[in-house]
Amino acid sequence: MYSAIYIEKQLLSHPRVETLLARFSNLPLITIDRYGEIFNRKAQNFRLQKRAPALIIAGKQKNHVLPTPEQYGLGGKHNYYFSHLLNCIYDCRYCFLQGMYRSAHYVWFANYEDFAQAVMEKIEQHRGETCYFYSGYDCDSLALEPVTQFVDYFLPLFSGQLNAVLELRTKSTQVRTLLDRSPMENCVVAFSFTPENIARKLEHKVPSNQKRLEAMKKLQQRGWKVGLRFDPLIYADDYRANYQRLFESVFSQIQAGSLHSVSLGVFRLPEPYYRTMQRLYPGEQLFAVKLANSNGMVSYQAEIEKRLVDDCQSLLLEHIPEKIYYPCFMQ
Amino acid sequence: MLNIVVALSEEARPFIQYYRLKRLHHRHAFPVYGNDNIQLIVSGVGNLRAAVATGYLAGIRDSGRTTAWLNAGIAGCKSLPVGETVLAHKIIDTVSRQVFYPAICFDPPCKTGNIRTVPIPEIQYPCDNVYDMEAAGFFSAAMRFGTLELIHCLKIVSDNEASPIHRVSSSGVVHLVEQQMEVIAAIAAVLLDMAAALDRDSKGDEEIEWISSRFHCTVAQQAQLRMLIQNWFALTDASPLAMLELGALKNTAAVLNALRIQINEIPVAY
Repeated sequence: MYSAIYIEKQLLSHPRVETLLARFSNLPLITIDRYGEIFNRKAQNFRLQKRAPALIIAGKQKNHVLPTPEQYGLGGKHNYYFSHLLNCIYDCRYCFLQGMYRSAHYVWFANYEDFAQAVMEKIEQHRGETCYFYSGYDCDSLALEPVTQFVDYFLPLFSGQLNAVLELRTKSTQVRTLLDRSPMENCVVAFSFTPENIARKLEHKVPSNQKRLEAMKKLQQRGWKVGLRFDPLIYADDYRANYQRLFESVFSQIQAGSLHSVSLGVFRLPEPYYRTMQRLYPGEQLFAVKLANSNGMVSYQAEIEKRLVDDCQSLLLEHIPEKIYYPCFMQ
Repeated sequence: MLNIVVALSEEARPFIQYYRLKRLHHRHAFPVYGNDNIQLIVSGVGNLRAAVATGYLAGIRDSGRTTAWLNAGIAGCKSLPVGETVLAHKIIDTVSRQVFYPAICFDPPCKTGNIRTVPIPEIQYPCDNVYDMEAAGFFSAAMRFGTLELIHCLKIVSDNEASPIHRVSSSGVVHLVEQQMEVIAAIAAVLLDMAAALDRDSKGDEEIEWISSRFHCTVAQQAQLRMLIQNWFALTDASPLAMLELGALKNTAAVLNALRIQINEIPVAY
């Protein structure tokens, strides 16, 4: 699963870490001072590292909870994200993490208590108002659950905080921890999808759409709030047919009436990330189509983007009520 | 392309035989051997010599980021048996206290471990790491030329507490390396494969050269050409470009324009 485990010396005797180390005792264990020594080095190749990433166990020192970027959210006023992991076990060609990080190793921040304290401080700061906390911004929220036990720790934290909503965003089918628990009013499990033909080309090592739908159905049947994220929308000449098929497949299996939220977001990348990703994957069709730079963000040309968004929006709204629809782009 | 740095001619000999390397006859500051995709340099003992030889080897043939680097040789260790191979996952320069972490992105065919690079042969083995005299110098120099995933140090234990360093003979060194050539070759093959994977991506060299031989191309135009040709290959599943048609155009600007038009007409489908 991992090529090696790097661990910050200060965490060698952390109880949460000791359990994990016992489980992976056959892997090389390499002690380091700070995770940046490995993760932030120059002259690394994300693509080569993705062949056999290592797990870096670290402690996050500051900025445990941060405001989300604009347009990232579900209509709430106070939107924050926190990342117990950096990087993802999946290998989606459109994912901005490839452009943001120099390394493909997974960084796991084991000091959950510090994250919990920062979350509680934000809730206290906005007392009486609803705060949204997104955990799947720099990683997949559930994919490494058997290793990180993130959900096990954080769900009890949120269960008593009805003004705080936790979103778990995932492409994973690791939902057993959730199914073993009673559903929570203030936790949304959001699954992201792209059309099957595109997923096959761009989403490597990811469970198929059907497997994701099955996991989602199980959660919905158990009373968990689930959401759909069609983000990023990917352009192809036959995009209309692609998305029509996808929506029909999804909404024939998922009860639209009890969905928490559905969002759409078009493929876009900050310009420096785009350049890095294009250098990493020069043979990738996604980066070879005609794209445009607008205010430092690279996306489809305005006319294509408008058509793609408008059409997908109309197709989507045939299946869901507008009140649960949240576009993730400038309207 | 794989560049190999060894300290001793005895360490080099099994490589020369295994890979059928030929001595490069023009005058060199270090003995250098090579074939089509491997170069080997004999650096001499010590950190500084290893670093200098690494830089020297990089300069002989254009060592882009797609070149792999391997430092191989004998080393001492308190407890590991003689003949054991260890791939470095951490290299500590005991003089400068610098620490390097090679990125092992493949399933290694041998143990991995810490290597401590010392200025004089270590006979006490104060901790249970592998002791050598070149890894840190080699690694710090190779990092200037290559990407971390393609730079590795492999050490073969030649001495330990039970079999001290003074018993290591010239023929013994040759024998130790020979015995581990399969492990070494397995690592070399993975490195060459990873380097080739990166190399395969840099398409368009022939086309750019062909166009540059016909028209004046500025550096900026060459960069645009590379981008457009890469996009063409990405969108057409590497179909060949109609070079003769492009060659019949007036200048590089016209070629760039024609390429843009052609690329925009390619259907986008998944």
